[in-house]
Amino acid sequence: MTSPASSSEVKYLIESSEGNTFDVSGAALRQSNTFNAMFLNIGADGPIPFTDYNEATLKKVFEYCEHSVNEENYSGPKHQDDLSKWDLNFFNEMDQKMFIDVINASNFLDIERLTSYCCERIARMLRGKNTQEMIKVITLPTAEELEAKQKVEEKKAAAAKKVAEKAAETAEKTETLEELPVQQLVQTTRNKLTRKYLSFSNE
Amino acid sequence: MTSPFPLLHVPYLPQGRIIDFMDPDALVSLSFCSQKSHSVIKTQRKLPFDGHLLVEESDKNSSFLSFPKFVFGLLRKRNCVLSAEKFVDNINYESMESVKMGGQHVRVEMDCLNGYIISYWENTTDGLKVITEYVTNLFNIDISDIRASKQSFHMIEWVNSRQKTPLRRVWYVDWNATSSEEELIYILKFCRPMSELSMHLKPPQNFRFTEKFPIIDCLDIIHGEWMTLDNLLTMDGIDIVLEKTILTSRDLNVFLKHWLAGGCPRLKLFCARLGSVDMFQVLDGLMRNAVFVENSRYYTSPFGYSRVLSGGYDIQREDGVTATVHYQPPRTLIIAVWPETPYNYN
Repeated sequence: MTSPASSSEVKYLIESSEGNTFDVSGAALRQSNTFNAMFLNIGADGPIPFTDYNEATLKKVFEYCEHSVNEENYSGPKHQDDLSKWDLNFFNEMDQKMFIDVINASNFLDIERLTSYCCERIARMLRGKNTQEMIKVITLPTAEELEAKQKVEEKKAAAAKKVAEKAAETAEKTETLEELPVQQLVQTTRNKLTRKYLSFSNE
Repeated sequence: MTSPFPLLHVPYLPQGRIIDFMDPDALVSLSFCSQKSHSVIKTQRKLPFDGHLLVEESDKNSSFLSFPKFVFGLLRKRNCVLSAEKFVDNINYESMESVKMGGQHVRVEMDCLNGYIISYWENTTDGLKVITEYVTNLFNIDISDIRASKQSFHMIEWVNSRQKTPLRRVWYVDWNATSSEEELIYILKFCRPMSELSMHLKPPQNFRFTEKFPIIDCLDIIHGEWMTLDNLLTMDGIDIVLEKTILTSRDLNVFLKHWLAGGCPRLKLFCARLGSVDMFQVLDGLMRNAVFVENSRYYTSPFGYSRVLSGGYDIQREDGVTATVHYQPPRTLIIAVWPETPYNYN
């Protein structure tokens, strides 16, 4: 059932990238500013398509929204120590891929509280890390990897240059070959004419 | 969550939020990772920093850039962003990370206790300049506060010359040193406007500042021997704390009359240690207007100075503003203007 009514009883159907649909309460969905801007006043005639995100991600996002329906208005991220056990479990049970998907979906749906908590969690994760540790965490190539990559690229470029040179050489040869039959033709014709001339003169 | 997180591949908005949530020292670490991470910080950081950037050359061997926190007016916790320290012989620098700052490769390591990066230099003054340029460029902010000693006075000049934003706080502190005339004149003439000035070092003998006194909200001078009545009469401050002055009770009487006539209009707390205090001279010609209050009153100034006023004379200005003139033995005279104003250190 989809409806523009504001009652928290109202359920909306959400469609994921797999084409699956599932229910989300109006109260939970209203935490999404994207939803509020797009559907709240005009309603939706069928499932609301959030088809850029898979079912697991959307369910996770709305699980958070359902849970925080009754929490007081958002007033900035809480300190780690102030997070409830439920919040901690919610974040801890996500693997890295899910975490990234949840951030992306939460960002698209513009769910302020969840986006902030996720972002703050990552910022906290980066605290006290030196550059090498930071590079590992944010999955940047290290200086050695960059050097190795550069070497590979240089090798590739050198190989490509060689191939290009060879190709140019081959093209040059082909040009000579292409020219050869003409010369041969001229020579053959010249020989024939010479032979004819000689035969005439002999006659 | 301790697994890797591809920060540079998350969408623009959450990436900016993460950058905003990160502490300044972590951002410095992140900036060293790659050119891209450096430019992401420069473009994405939107939130103002919690505090003001302080540059401090504490001694010959170490200098700091930090966003200090004040607790009751005292620098309690050093939120260091990046520091420059001198190479010492018994450390193997080869095993340390090397990062690029100011076009040169610099050895760095993490201060494990406080989580900021220490950079190592042959010359810490050069190092401090490089890290200052690096951090102010990365965060797109200017230096706000500076704490210098006699030997690092040049840092005040350097910071002042490299930015248009005036310095907010200057601490020129060196308990055992004597300042030169040029140094004092430079601070009083060229570091303006300034919100707070603390000078804790001896002035040169017979030094006088003969020009109009700069507007300084909070002035704290430990060696105030050079202060004259003319200086007092041209001051425009909120908290004025002067120690070891050679001002007289007559001078203070003139200053009090000056205040009653509308001079130094922003004044909340004036506290001066004189050679001796004679309250009759201080209140000469004002006794008809003065009311003695026996009760002890606790007074806190806008910049956090606290004084107990046990007995004192309340004097009212024409506009109704009242000040308590209090003698605090053995040689201190306090003028506290009511009402108290809540203080805000940052």
